[in-house]
Amino acid sequence: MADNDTKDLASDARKYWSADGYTRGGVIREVDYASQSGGLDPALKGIKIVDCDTHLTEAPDLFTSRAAAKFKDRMPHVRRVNDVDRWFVGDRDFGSMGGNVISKDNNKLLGRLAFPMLEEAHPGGHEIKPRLQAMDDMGVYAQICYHNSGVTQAGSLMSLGDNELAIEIIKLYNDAAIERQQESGERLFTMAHLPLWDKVAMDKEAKRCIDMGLKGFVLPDTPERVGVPSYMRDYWDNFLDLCNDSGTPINFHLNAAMDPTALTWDGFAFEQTLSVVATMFSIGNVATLGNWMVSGRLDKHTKLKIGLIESGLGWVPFAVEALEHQFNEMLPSKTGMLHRRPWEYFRDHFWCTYWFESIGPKLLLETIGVDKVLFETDFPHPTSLYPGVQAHIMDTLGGYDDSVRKKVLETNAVGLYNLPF
Amino acid sequence: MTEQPEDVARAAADRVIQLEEEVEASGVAAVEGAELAHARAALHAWIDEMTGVVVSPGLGRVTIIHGDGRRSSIASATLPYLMSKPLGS
Repeated sequence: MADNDTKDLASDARKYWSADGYTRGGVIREVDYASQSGGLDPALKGIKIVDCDTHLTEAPDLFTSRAAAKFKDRMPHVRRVNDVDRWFVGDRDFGSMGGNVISKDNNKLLGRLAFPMLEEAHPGGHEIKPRLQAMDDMGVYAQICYHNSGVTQAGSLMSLGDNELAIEIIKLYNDAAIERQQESGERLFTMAHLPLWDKVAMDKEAKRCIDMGLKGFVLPDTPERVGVPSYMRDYWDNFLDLCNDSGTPINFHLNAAMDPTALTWDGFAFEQTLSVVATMFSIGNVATLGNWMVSGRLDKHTKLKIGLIESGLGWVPFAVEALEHQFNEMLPSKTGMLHRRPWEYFRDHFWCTYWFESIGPKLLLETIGVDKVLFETDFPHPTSLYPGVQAHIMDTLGGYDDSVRKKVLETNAVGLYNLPF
Repeated sequence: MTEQPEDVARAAADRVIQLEEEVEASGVAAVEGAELAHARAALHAWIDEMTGVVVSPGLGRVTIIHGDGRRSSIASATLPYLMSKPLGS
């Protein structure tokens, strides 16, 4: 192959991976941090804000520092490739460290997914003490945390051809999660991952996670895409019974249901593509919502709690109303299986989150249900509500009385995740 | 009674066609005989002309890169694993 061909191929592959988002560039938004670090707005006194969607970058030694000797050499580790930090398992590239656009000096990088090197980003992306300081500054008491890299993605781990190692990587991720939860003084609650491809190991790890105090799981919407049985199969019965009976929520984070590659026009720059894709990711939660509602699963697991995370909420009334229409027009044959209506399923099982929106929280809160909405910042991701957390809360919830604010900002999350405060 | 492979293929093809009809598109199925042989040969030739590939097991996807830079995406729950080398190999 000629050199030029090789370069073209590498260029195509990089674009496909959205690697442009991790290369140097973008625009720095200067943040007047003194005006952003005053903590909780006085009008919200007495509320412990739970930020229900944030991301913790997996620390470079998360796996190697916890691994037993026999796994040490095979554990995920970080290498710097072309000045970008990336995860590797053996020689297999497992992708970037994930998004963090808050700089170590508290400014914000626009038009990119992350600073290329970990030390350029806010240390609160992966270290507990600066994370808690950032939360105090933002006026946030607790955070529900999700992974940042793809190092624990089921399909990637399945492709290693080493099931023992793959399961161990998931277990170490969860071990780190509970250690972090305890070290933070029960303020950082990471949603557990599971070895989805191995039913025995999955059921065992799910029980272990609940027993050690983790507060929920994060799952893909369509596990069949990577060769794991669909939620329609009895493969999931034990796990869903466990969640149902223990009150442990399952969560579907933005991007759980959608393949973004076919959504945008050829010829776009990275920033143009991401603007459309990021918007569609949120609306993609409609698929998750609909899949569960029409599946019959919610009639078997009547107490199952489902978090739609980084979902936004403006689309919710339309989606549920559309599903009401579909129940009438398309599903009369399933009335014996589906015992409730979409609005009933929604109110019995689902929670959604909002961050940048104004119209939804101001105008639709009562339609959706004041008990069904959670607040999030998505810290420290590119679309995160940073800076301006407290100002946005007051803009969107300032017109409601204290009891509604407390539900949306605190007690809805405390109930969903069984938080200890 | 165990279903014959051609019955399974026919049922799968019918399902695809049904869903495509929802957007007024018509798919053409080939599940046996000369039509299937022709489709298989054309697919082999198409694959043989690829100049690159991105295997994404985490997404259940393989992306074929063609000589002119175009990309074709194959969503598959099995192909990415077939194309991934086991760790250490």
